[in-house]
Parts: sequence; C-alpha cells; structure tokens
Amino acid sequence: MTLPNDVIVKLILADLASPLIVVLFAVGAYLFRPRSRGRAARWLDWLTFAASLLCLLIAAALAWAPPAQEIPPASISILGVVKVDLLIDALSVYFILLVNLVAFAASCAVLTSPPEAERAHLFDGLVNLFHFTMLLVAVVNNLVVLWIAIEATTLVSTLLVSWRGDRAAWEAAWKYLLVTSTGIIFALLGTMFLANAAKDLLNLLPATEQDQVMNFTFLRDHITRLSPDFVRLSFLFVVVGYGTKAGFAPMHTWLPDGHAEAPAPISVLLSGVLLKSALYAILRFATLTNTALGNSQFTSAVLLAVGIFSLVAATPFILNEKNTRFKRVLAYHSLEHMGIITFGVAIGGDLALFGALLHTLNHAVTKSLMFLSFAKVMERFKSIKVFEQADITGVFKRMPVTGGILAVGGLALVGTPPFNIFLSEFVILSGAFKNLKAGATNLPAWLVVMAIVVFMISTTLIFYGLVRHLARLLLMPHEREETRPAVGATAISAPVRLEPRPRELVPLMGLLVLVVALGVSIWQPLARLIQLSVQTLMLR
Amino acid sequence: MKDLLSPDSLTGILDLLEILLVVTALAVTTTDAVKSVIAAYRVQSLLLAATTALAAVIKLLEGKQVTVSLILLIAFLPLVLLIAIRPLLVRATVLRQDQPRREDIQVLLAGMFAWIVERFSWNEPVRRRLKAYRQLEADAEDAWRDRHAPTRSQSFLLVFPALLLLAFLAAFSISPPNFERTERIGLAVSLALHLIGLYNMTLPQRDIISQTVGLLLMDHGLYLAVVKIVAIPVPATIFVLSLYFYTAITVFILLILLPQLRQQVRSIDRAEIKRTSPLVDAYKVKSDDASQ
Repeated sequence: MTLPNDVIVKLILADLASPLIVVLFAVGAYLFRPRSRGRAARWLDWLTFAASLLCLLIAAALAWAPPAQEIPPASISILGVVKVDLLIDALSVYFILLVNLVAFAASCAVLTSPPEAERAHLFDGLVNLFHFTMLLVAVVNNLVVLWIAIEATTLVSTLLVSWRGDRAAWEAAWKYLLVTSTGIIFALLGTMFLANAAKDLLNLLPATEQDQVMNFTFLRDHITRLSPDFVRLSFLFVVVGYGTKAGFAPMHTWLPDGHAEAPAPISVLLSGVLLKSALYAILRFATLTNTALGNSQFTSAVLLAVGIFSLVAATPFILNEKNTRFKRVLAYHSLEHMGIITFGVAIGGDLALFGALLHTLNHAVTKSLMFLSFAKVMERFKSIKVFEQADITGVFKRMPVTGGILAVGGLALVGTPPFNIFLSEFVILSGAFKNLKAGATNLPAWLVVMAIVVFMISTTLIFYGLVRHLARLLLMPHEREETRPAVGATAISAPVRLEPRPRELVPLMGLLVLVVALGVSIWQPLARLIQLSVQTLMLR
Repeated sequence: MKDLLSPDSLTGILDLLEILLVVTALAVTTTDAVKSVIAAYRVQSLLLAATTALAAVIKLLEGKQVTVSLILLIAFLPLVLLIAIRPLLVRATVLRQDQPRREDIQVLLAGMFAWIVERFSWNEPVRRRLKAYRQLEADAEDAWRDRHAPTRSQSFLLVFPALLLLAFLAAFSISPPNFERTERIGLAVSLALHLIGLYNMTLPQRDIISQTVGLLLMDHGLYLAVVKIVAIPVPATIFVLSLYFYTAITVFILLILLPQLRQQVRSIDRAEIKRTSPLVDAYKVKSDDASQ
C-alpha cells in the first residue's frame, strides 16, 4: 500500500511544521514572560509532547505506506524567497521515523522530569528547533542545504549541551562546537569539490533550474559524467567532515563530554538521532560515489576502516573500570555502535545493509532507554544528597524497578539475546558471512574475515566492560548502607527507597517494550520500509 | 598602466596576495603575544578581502560568467571579522560582573568603530562607552600578558614547511586538468590555511584566544576556497549562503561561547584549564578516603 504523492508531501510538511509551531509559542512565552512566569514551565512541555506525538503519528503513517520509489520533485518556499527542494524516498522516511521516535521519547522524559520553570520557554524552544533541524536533514535534496541543516543542528545543540550552565557543561559545549565546526569545514570542502566537478553538467539544465545542479537526485542521475578522482576526493573529505559529527574515531573527542554533560533528554537526542543524521549525509554521498565509480569498493574500504577503528577505539574506555561516570560510559557506547553501523554499511549487500539500518533504530531506542533510566537514578539519588555519578551504587536495593530496567537495557546495549541490538548485530554478521560464502564481498575476503574477528573480539570485551560497570552501579553496596551492624545496634537500617512514581516510569517501560519487541521480531511494515531503504541505497 | 590592469598582471598580484596570506598565517602561529596573534589575523583579513575583491575584478575583465556581486559578498565577511575580532576577543577575555546586555553591546560597538568615534563623534554617552571599552582593552592586554605558557613550538620550524608542502602537493595533484594555475595556487593556499589553522588549534601550549584564532584561520581558508573553486553563478549563491551561516556560528563562538567559557574557567591558558577541568575520563579517586 502506498499513499498518494501529494498526501506524502503534505504529511512531510505537517511534520516539519509541528515543532516549528511550538518554537513560535516558546517565542511568545518569552515575549510575554512576566505574565507567564512559572506557568510556562508545564504548558510548553505538554505542547512539545503533543507536537512530537503528532510527528510520530505522521512518521508512522508514512512508514506504514512508504513510497516505493522516490516521489517526484517537490519543494517548499520559505517566505517566498528561498526555495528548498525536498527529497522524499524510503530512506528519508525511515530517518524521519527515527528522528520522531527519539524526539517523542525525549519529550516524554521532559514531561516526567522537574520543570525548567524560568527558562522553560528557552529549553522547549531549543528542543523543538533541534527536532526541526534534524527533520530538515532527512528531507532536503540539495547537498549544500544539507550541510547548512547539519550545521544548524550543531548550533542549536550547543546551547542545549551547555544548558546546566556550570563549568563542565560550558567546557563540553566549547569542545563540541570547536571540534564539530572544524570537521564540518571538510564536509563543505568535499561538497565544493563535487560542485566544481559538476559545473560541466550545467548545460543539462534549463537556465531557470540551474540551482538544481547540487541536488542529490540530479547528481545521482548524471554523476557518471564526472571525474571519478574528484568524486573519490569529495567522498573522503565528506567522511572526515560528517564523520566528525557522526562521532567516528579519531574525531570523536567531543562525544563523551557532550553526551555526558547534556541534560538527559538532550543526550537522548544527541546519541539517538544527531549522530545518525550525520551518517545519513554520508550514506547519500556514498550512493553518489558508488554510482560514479560503478562499484562500492572504494566507499566500503573507507567505511570499513572508519567503522572498525571506531569500534576498537571505544573498547578501552568502556573496559576502564576507573571510568566511574556512567553517562560517559554510555557515550562511548555510541562510538561503538556507530562503528558497528558503519561496519554493516561497509560490508554491503542486502542483508548487511538491512542490519545496519535496523541497528540505527535499535541503538537509538536502547540508548534512549539507558540515558533516561540513569537520569531517573541520578535525579532520585540527589534527594539523599548523592550528587556525583561516581558515588551512585547499590541502585537495585533502593530502586529495584528502575534498576531492573537499567540492567535489561544494559544487557540489550551489549548485544545480549533476545534483545534488539543482538538481532541487528546478528543480521549484519549474517550478511557478512553470506557475502563471504557467495564470494560477493566488496573487499578482499581476508580483510572482511579480519574485520569480523575484530568486531567479535571488541563486542565481547565491551560486553564484559559494561557488565562490570552495571554490577558496580546496581549491586555494589552504597557507602551509606551499613553492611554490618554497629556495636550495640540491634538492626541494620534499611536503605531508603528511591523509586520514582509509576507515571514517571511510563516512558521507560515503553522503550523497554520496544527493546524486547524489536528483538523478538521485526514488524512487517518496518521490515518493508528498511528493505525499500536498502534498495534506495543500492539504487534499485 | 593598461598592462598593469590586464587580467594577467592582476592575476600575478592575486598570487602574491595569496602568498602573503600564508605569511600572515605563519605570523599567527609563531608569535608569542596574543595581541600580535590578533594583529596578524587582522592583517590577513584585510589581505583576504583585497584578494577576493581582486578576484572579482579579474573575472569581470575576463568576461567570465560569474556573479561578481556574490564574490564581493564573500569579501564582506573578512572585513566584518577584521572590525569585530579584537573587540570580541577583548570582551571574551575580561572577567567581569554581569552587566545590562544593552550596555554590553554598546561598549562592544564603540570598540568596533573606535577609530570613527575618536575622530568624529562628540556624543558624550558614545565617548563614555569608548572609554569603558578602552579600560576593557587594557584589562584584556594585562590578561594576555600574564599568560605563562609560551606559544612558540620548536617543532613548528619543521611542521610549517611540511604543512605547506602537503597543501601544495595535494592541491596540484587533486586539481582537475581544466584548473588554471591561479586556481591551483588558490586551492593550495586554502588548504594551507586549513592545515595551519588546525595545527594552531591543536597546540597544547596555546591559550583559548589563540586557539579560536586558529579556527578563524580555517574560516579564511574556506572563504578563499569558495572564491577560487566555486566560481559558477548558481551553485555559488547557495555556497555564499553557507559561508554566511558558518560565519554566524563563528560569531556565536566569539560572542557567547568563548566569554561564557572564560567566566567559568577563570584562565585563558589551555594547560591550566585542562589541569583543573572536571571533564576528565574518570576518576573519582577514593584513595583519599581510604588513606584516612
């Protein structure tokens, strides 16, 4: 079943407009701040929730009936001055679904957390602007506008990373913006090289449509006329540039600080979708490069190197037991999983690509669960004056339900069956073995085998590392608990229960259900959407 | 005179200006004093504006299909940075109590247009704000002087030629066959500015002000790249838009991020900031408790 094209375009526009409308309300709340002080806190949070729910429903509708092929060119006009061409195909619909799902989870977390009070208008405004910019990344056709959209996500997210306003937050924001701004320059250079090569294609376009020369769809159809060397060069620069934003090693130095110091809903958005937005840009350029070169050997080699290096780079940091700040450990898991996704893309073929795209969703869901669960733990431990992450231990005793969710989420994160991440990793590896067996690898077989071995060793070590961190967090007695009764005392005082209210656990339960459900089976509509996305990437 | 204004002569002057850009980048990297780093950067901004304007004139004389106005729009960007960089870095350096935003902006504007205000303005409030800016400037220069870590890296004598060689080799090998000599040189200088700027940012002995100037060097490389590589009308428009957007982010760093960071870390020295940073990988050491 497919929706009519005009309906799809209208749904996309409604999806883009929803967070922007909340931004307008937030601006209004700022302008009328004296009257709405205090009261702005919650109604804006509810509005954000409503907008993100609407976006998710739209994305679900699109995902249920995705376009089998890219729909004919559509464009939107901003204030009648700037025209932005849209690219709507299965891959963009999939990423729209991803963005909206994680944004919804983040909005639920905002609603179940203490309100921001005085700065609610700013926080909700920025969160919705962030949401909008990530949606824009998924639908723009022009590669330069894509760059602008990704840079817009950087600007907005910097303000959110620094939200707490203390030294650590500002330092993290500084590092984040400096490193990603440096990297993104290379992405623009890569796009420029492509633009220079593409000037030979200008005569294929009417004079009034020459601005389309940098559209993905146009380049994809004509890129075989361009110099392969220039296209390769462009791809290399783009991988370095967007790879910095995607958190690939060795450009990942901003990632642990940025994810760890941001408020939990923002960590969810950063880890769950921002990294994937940058990866989306790389995937589009990879499609162009593969088309220009006639095969995917070059892109596979580059992405394999980047993916495996990222996976290996994450391992020692996760294994380090002295790294007692759990949010930083979770941030390093983002590095690991981006490496796994890139590994899957590099392996290529239907199955591995399917696994890689599925992994983007599974990682987003599981990481959201982990960040939000741990945020609840931190919030509740603050009530007994435990402020440092390193001091949080014995969570099971004080918060058995939340601790259980953390435990399950943690096991899911390291690829334990029967959870979602295990399934997508299994599919990626199955794809790799299938290619090896059929002799259909993009790269030399020995290289693929070595990469698989490194993959399995790293993920095993990471499993051990996280389980150790979880054991410390969940099981190690808290220093405030008396493990033995003092002399003369008659009983050990029971630890204070810190479990949050049931309604605060609803978002976590929802994510947990997804983590389990996506591990048990892949729903048919989702599987079809991912298959269509794979075909889009492989240009079928 | 006619020969001097021929495209070939002007192209020669253009190449010379681009070489001077590299020389100023060397000055930014090798000088110890923060004040001199900023001065060298401002000279480079002026040179880049002149380079861009000259590139537009050459395109006009050659009758090439290019939107001259777009190139001139790019020339505007380094001029903005030339005027704004010193006042912004002064403001970012000085630790001060929160003051009304309006007053803050007025003092900043007075600093940006100090030359005009000193000579042509007799408006008392404006002159008072300029005086306030001069006091800020004096405090900033004291802070820059007090920074202990030397910036000059002994290895730079080897690194700089290597970076330059890498940039020129890369530019001349990756340039397509239809690139003219001036475009290749422009690409080479652009890559050199990127690499030198990147090197500046990674030097551990540097302060955060000079580190920011390193990022701004890379901005200059980007402007030059757009002028030299993307000189075709229609896509050039969107690239100019992207440059303006990127410059807005740079201004955000200078206007908001850097001052906030400075207020929090209390030092501009990177080594000192790293030493006292709460952002280290680990590590809550319980040895203090264990030893007691």
